[in-house]
Amino acid sequence: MTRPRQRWLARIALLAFAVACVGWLVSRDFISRVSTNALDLLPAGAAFPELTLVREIANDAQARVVMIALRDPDSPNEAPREAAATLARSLRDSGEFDEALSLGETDSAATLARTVFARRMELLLPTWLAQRRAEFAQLSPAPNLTFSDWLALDSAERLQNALSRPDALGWQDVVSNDPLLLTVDLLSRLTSANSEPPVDVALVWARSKASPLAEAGQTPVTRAIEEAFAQARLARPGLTLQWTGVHRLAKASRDRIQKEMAALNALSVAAVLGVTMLFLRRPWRVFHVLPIVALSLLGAWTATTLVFPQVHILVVVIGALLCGVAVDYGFHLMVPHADGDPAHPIRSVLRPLLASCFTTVLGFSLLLVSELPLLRQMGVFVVSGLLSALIAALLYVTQLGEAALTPRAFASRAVFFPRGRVIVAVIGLACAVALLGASRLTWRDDIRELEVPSPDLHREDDAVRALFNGSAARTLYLSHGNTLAEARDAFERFRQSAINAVEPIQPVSLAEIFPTETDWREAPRTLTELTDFPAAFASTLSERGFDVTTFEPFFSAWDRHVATPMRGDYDSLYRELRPVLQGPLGAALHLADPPYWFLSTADRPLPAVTTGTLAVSQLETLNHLFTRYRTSALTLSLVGAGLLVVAVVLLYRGQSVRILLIPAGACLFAFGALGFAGAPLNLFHLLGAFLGLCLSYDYAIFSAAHRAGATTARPAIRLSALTTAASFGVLSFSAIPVISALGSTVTLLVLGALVLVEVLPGGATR
Amino acid sequence: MPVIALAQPTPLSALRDDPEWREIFEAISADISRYSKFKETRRFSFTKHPVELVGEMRRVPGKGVSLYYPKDGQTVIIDARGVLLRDARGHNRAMPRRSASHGPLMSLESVLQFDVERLALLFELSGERTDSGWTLYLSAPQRPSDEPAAIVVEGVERRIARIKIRRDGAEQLEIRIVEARENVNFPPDEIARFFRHP
Repeated sequence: MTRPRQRWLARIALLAFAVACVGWLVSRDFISRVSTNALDLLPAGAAFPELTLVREIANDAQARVVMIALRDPDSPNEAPREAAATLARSLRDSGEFDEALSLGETDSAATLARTVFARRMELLLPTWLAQRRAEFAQLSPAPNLTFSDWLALDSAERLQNALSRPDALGWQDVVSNDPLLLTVDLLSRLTSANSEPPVDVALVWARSKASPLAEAGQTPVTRAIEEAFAQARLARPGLTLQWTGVHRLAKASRDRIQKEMAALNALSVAAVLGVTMLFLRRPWRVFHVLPIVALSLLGAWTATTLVFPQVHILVVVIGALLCGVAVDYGFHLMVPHADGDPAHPIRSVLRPLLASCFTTVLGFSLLLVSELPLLRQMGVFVVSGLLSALIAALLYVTQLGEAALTPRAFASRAVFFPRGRVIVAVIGLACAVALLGASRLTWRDDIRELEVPSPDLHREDDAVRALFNGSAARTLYLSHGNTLAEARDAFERFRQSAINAVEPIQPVSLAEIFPTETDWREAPRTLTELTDFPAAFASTLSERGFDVTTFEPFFSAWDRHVATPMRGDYDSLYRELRPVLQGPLGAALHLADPPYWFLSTADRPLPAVTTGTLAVSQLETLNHLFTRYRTSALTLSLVGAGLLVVAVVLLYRGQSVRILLIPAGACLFAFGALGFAGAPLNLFHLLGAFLGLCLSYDYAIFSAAHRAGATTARPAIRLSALTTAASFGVLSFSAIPVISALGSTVTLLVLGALVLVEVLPGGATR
Repeated sequence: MPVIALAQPTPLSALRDDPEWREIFEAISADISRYSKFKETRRFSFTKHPVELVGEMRRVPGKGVSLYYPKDGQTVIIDARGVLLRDARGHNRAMPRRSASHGPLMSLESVLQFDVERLALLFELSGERTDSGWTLYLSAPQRPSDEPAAIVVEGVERRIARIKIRRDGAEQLEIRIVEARENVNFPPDEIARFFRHP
């Protein structure tokens, strides 16, 4: 085939590839397939039932809650309740919220208390009877009393003791109906552990329709709150607003990440251009590598969206790594080599180019077998991007027909390094320092490092949560089951374990409103044993100085309940209460469909939880996931590194020791330096190291190829390494901890590899 | 017939002009720390006999009032943030504002702080004096003429001796101060134990 024909065919192939990729991405509405939802990082499926449950809760119930506090400094002794009612109404009208309640306007807790009081016999009595029976069974020595007589004595004594409680004046009105204190004790347990909000604050609780982790739950929700606040201010111009929700934190983080990434990318490009201008005689020709990078990214996006219906935004961010490798292919092919044929630029570098691409593809392809979706997406993205970059670079240089980038003289010049014992001493010292630094390495997996820190927003978040919950720092647990009975049993096991712990804790949950199914079924039988109880109880009360006539409402209710102790089925207890479980109360349990669950809170964490209950600190769960990501990535990296070693040994035999020394030394240096800097490592250091390792292999392979007399790779290696170091060096200044981690690791590794390529005997520059 | 009905107490406007009443008001409203032991009598509609309790009362400027009941180790903390119940193990529980106990206990704090201006916003105040003692009546506005005052505060010289809180026409709570000290220097651990933590 003639060369002009080859060039035209290459151009047609490039164009066809670009058109096919762009056509696919446009037809699939590429932007809508990029997910910003952190929960998409969670692996789905039966292998991770707890994570799936947490994902549901985080997405559907807890995370959609918005908490708003209003104050009017012009009226410091009064809560602006009517403004809160206006704001809640505006939120409901906005169409962005499923629920919006002014807590002063709608006292859902009082409504629930009234309902539970009215149905106390069927809801609270069964478990109360079961607990009393258990106490009776454990009495030692066993009393010479029937259960009925003991219960009468014990209940009267409990009531008498309760009258000394400071809150007795408050509930005395219900005692004639409830001398067993079923409702009083339940409400005492459910009451918040700390103070109610200050008198000058009005609170609004709302739940958005869309998930706050997606764009639809961020900007529209924020706008609706701003507009509702403007409405509320019409009557009170001095009104102030504090609000929080995952919506706000996620939006702030996303906005700042977008701004930061735009600035960093601009600086990164400037840094690459700066380095290139220093190295090339005609710097503007660096734009020849841009089509290769663009086609590499297009290929990667096309393949990834072909394989995955949704791609996480982190893949986009980490996908920038691909540019670093794709640029290198362009440099290696387009910088002329002293011992190569200028008319056939590809021939002289084809072997090292294929070898380096093969080793990198081999390394990243291992990510495809990961259980974690992000790593799989990254694997497909990088592998397809690398292959696209290689094909695009070969086609582009073919259609160009020449090595387009001419380096300045100094780019090829050898650097003076001390030789002999001095170099051995320096390398020895560097190894010692690296080993010492590496021994100081620690891991920290914190999902908060994915976002730009927003201390002001987090302070406001703490303040508003404390107004709603009494405290921002309580541990949240979730008891779940496939039936309502299973979920309630799971909570009961957890409660028993908590109150019997060495340091007992009383978990607080709305689950306590309902009896366990066993207690509920057992209650009618127990009641048949208690036919004497009303008379014994009345007699005991009278002996202890109570006016028995005032308890007539209780004895009537008891008789009515004994006549029909069970109405409907067990699940109907829950169904009938659902209408009054609104607002914040409704977000604390899920009674609509399986899996059913109850949230409970505890003042402090428990060392262990029972079957069916899990700690649902979302942060802890996601941090745990981060650790799994890191462990999985580390395992796969090590396997990948092992395969790379085998591949290099097979391909380069005699030169393989030097080739392997360069990435290994660079890796040791980078982690040693990070250890000395005291920076705890995370998943992104690991991913950066993986990329840096692949790049180091490239430099080592190209320098070995030169040693074999095939090419003079020095300018291309230097240009590749320094442009990569410049662009990732800029990223290391990012305010987003994970981006900074990625940038600093790649920079250190690439610079370490470059130094080793330059100093190790027998390399390209010697 | 109750003494109150016979007494025809002097209204607050007149009390303010009386130098001796002003001295009493200044003494009992002084923003100083106080400690006292008290005897409390609670009366319930469903018991034949009242419940008798003893306790310790502490007041610290800026921290409110604390009532401690040694029998069961319970503490009631009444301050600007509301009413907090602390059990013998130190576990706290807020008393909801809508609870029926909240009102009387917050009234108690107002009385013990004796901020006349604040009390005047909540109650109609009137008083009467004998040779060594005095009585203040704090009544809910627009109460029926035959209904006794909601809170009655009795004092000797410049000290509060007894507080009675009535509800629905019946006396519900009586607190008798049996020993009182002023300007008490409470150690930090005592303040931490008996008042709300920051």
